[in-house]
Amino acid sequence: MQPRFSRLILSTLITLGILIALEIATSAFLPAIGWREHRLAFNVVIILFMALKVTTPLLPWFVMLLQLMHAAFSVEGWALGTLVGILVSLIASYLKEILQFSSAIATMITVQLFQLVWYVSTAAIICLKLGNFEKFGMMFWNAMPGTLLLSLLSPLLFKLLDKVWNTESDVGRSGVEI
Amino acid sequence: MRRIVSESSKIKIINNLLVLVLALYGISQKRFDLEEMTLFQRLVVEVVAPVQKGFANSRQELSDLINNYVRIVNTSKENVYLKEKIARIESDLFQMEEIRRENFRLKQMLSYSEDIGQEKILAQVIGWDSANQFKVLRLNRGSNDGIRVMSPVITHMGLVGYIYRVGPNYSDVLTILDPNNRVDALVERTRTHGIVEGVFNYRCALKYINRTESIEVGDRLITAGVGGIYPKGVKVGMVTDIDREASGMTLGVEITPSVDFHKLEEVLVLMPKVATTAQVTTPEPETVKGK
Repeated sequence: MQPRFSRLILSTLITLGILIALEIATSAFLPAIGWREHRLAFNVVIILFMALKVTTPLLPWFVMLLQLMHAAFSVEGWALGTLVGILVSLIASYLKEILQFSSAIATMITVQLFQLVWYVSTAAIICLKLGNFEKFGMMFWNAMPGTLLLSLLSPLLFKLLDKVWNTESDVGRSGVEI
Repeated sequence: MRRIVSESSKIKIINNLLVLVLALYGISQKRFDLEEMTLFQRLVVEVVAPVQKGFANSRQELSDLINNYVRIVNTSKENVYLKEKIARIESDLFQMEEIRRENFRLKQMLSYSEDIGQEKILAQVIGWDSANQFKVLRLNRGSNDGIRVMSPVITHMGLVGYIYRVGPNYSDVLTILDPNNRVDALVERTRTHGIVEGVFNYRCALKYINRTESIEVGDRLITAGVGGIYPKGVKVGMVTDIDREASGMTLGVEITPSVDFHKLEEVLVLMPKVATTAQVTTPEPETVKGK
């Protein structure tokens, strides 16, 4: 139990470190070299990885922790992403049996589909909160170029996170129990 | 075994419910127009913002680094040496050019700020919001420099936004490109009132303009000075498209902001006007009597 717990803590800390590095890249490094049009929401991909490949009852708390860190880089705050993250992870838990990550293409398509669910939910909640659905479409479409690029990058990111969470050998199926 | 599984599912359900309740509470408390930084956020911002600042400061070095990397691939050592030498000279030239441009920008900002009878703080843009749905900038100045929430942020080109949240050494600006920022504006030529709202893609919309108003493409917009955030007369943008075909009683007016947000590097934060002691102190009765 002890080694498993210490591995969990270590993996979480490394994941948070990766998230911070990627958030700095998207909020400061990319704008500094001229990329200002679209933000790459790496927090979404990391949460999707956790939801799709890591099976633990503590998953909601991990989602919250990742979103708390993300909130330091975005006025989106932690609550919205946490809510959507849990919704997405619940959907993922039902689909785990049929999802495959055997090839890069399969990973990209899966990540893209889940990102669509994420952004539809996020836009809907923001519009509900503001009591105005006028900008729903715009909010959703504005995020699309970023999601496509993230999907292209997702096999690399998943490979890296596979190493961190030791999920390499268990491709797809029911994820790795921690 | 079945018992262990069911206990694990129970824990999962309890965890999900707990975090969902927390998240729903968080969303119910969330404001998209103003926010106070939590202690945790302050801590993280204080740690990561210097790194963001580093990237913003080394903008020139970063582009040189990328250019140099592309240049030296597949070249001989001599070529690398010579190109490095050239690159160094070019980098010096670029730096001089960068300093010249910065000097020009700061002079413009300074001459503009002299016209505004309000205390102001010069700040550098060090980062952008990492989510797509929000158009927020991070500045390298915070409450330790005197910045307060709701302080207007401008440049010599026009209005940028207002301070949305503030930490001790860094602050975030909700720009006019963000749909949650609404600016009461005036069409300079016709003095028509409207509300400017962000609509993504670095454009804004002027809302609640009656169809009978004679607004034209090219009309300039300025702040109306209503609402207590922005001073009156700051340039907001220019009308670039009018949709007269749109249904309803109002016109669809597209605005291009005066500020080029792609090239924004320095901004001025206007400090709220504080009434001086002389203005608020009433004369003592004896002094009045003496007169």
